[in-house]
Amino acid sequence: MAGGIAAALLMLWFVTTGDTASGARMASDPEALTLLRNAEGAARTTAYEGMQFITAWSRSGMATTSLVKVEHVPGDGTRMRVQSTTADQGGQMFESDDSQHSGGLTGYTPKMLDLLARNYAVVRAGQGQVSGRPTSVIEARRADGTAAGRFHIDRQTGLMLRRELLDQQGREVNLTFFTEIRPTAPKVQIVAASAPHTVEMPWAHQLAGADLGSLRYQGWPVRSALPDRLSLYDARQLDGGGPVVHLSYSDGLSVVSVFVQRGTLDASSVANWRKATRGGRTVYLRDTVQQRAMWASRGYVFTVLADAPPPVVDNAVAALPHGDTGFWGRLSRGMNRLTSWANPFD
Amino acid sequence: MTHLGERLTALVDGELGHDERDRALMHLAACDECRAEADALRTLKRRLRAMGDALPAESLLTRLQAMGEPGDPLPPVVRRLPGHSRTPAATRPRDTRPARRAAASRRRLPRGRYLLAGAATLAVLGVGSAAFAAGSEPRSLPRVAPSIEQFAVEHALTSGDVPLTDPKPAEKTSDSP
Repeated sequence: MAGGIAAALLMLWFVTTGDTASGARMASDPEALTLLRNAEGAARTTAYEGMQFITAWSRSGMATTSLVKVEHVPGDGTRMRVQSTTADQGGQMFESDDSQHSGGLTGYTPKMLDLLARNYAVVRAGQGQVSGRPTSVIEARRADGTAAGRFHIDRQTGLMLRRELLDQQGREVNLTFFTEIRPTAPKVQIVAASAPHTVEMPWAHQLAGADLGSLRYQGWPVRSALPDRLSLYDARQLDGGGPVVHLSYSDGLSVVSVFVQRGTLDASSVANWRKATRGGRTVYLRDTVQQRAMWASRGYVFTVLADAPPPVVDNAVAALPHGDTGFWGRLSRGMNRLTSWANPFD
Repeated sequence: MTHLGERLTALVDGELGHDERDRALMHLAACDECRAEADALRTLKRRLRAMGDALPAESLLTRLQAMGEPGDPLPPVVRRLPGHSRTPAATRPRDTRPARRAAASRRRLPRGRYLLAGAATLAVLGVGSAAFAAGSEPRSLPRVAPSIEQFAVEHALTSGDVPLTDPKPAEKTSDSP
């Protein structure tokens, strides 16, 4: 009975986490929110094919661009093939089913939309055009009125055609748009029984509040929020040789994934990465289409993948555990563990 | 295919307008030659910037120049002989209290304070010991080579973005704990 109540409380905490940190909800335009909400539905129900242009800017201002051919068949999923890229990568094939979309140009799920509306004022910002198609422009604005995100919604199909992520100075840090898009006739895919057909799925073991409480009890560094109003909105685990915990944080625009593994970092993993200092400790960074950071601390290896402005990534990395060898490190680690035992809600 | 030519410099310097920049980036994605040239320009720019950062600060230069000029005489070096204490006895305050009186004042301290101080010390030591014990780590931790490619796909599936990964690294799994 007591265990059930504790589990229910943990679940409640997990569901509501982030509310206290983010403060009052900002005033949004309901019609703008509806357009964004409908974009997610349109991405699922519209058959289309086209070419996506994806660019991310690193700290140094260097852009990494990829051109990706996209084809979507309702009910079947989305196929993406990288046509060309400036990154040290290419030729990848990616296929996901319709249940996996939660951001990017596939629109917003209710959960992500709620985070967006909680942290930003979502408003209409006039009309625009993307690859010759008239669009409605929507902006997600910060409390100071500056735009943090800008979206172009196709006025004919309701699809999101362009998405920009902007830093505090108004510079683009992440840009995705269709250079060309054609709605296609819905078709039935005939797949031979022997043909390889691999649809990527997220890790199946989803972690609920009680699971996270249990991980914290065991000493795993599981934060319910990170700086810059990033809330934990999804947590999963890959079971296998050594478990990997995937913690997904977002403010509705930026997405920061933190992968945690038990162990020490194999130096070969960061052979071509740039060594840097964050939060007074050494981390290894790599700026590709995503920003990436990797380091080891307190017996755990952290890998961060982020679609976010560099300062947001830096703050997130600095807020996670770093270093701690020796007497004081052990003492600090022990105090943290004792506190988590006393208060599993933190 | 027409190459970017002089527009490359403008691109690297961030001087192109939005549309022109997008077109240039799109060209870079498909043109190896321009991409190599852009990389070379960026490397050059980065090196030049690093050289600028490496120049010493003005104050340091001033101090270095001042070292060459005649200055004030150096302070005398005081050598301590073995057996001599660090602080000269003359500078130490003399204890003028009568021995009996000092002892009496110590006796007058309430016993409760000692008990309180002792309890607090024990509590701190207890919590500290518990924390020290709780902070122990297993002796052998597995060596981990995070699978970036797998993580990038997982990140994409939960964020809705297109997964773009590095070339597949050598597969290396962790040792079992």
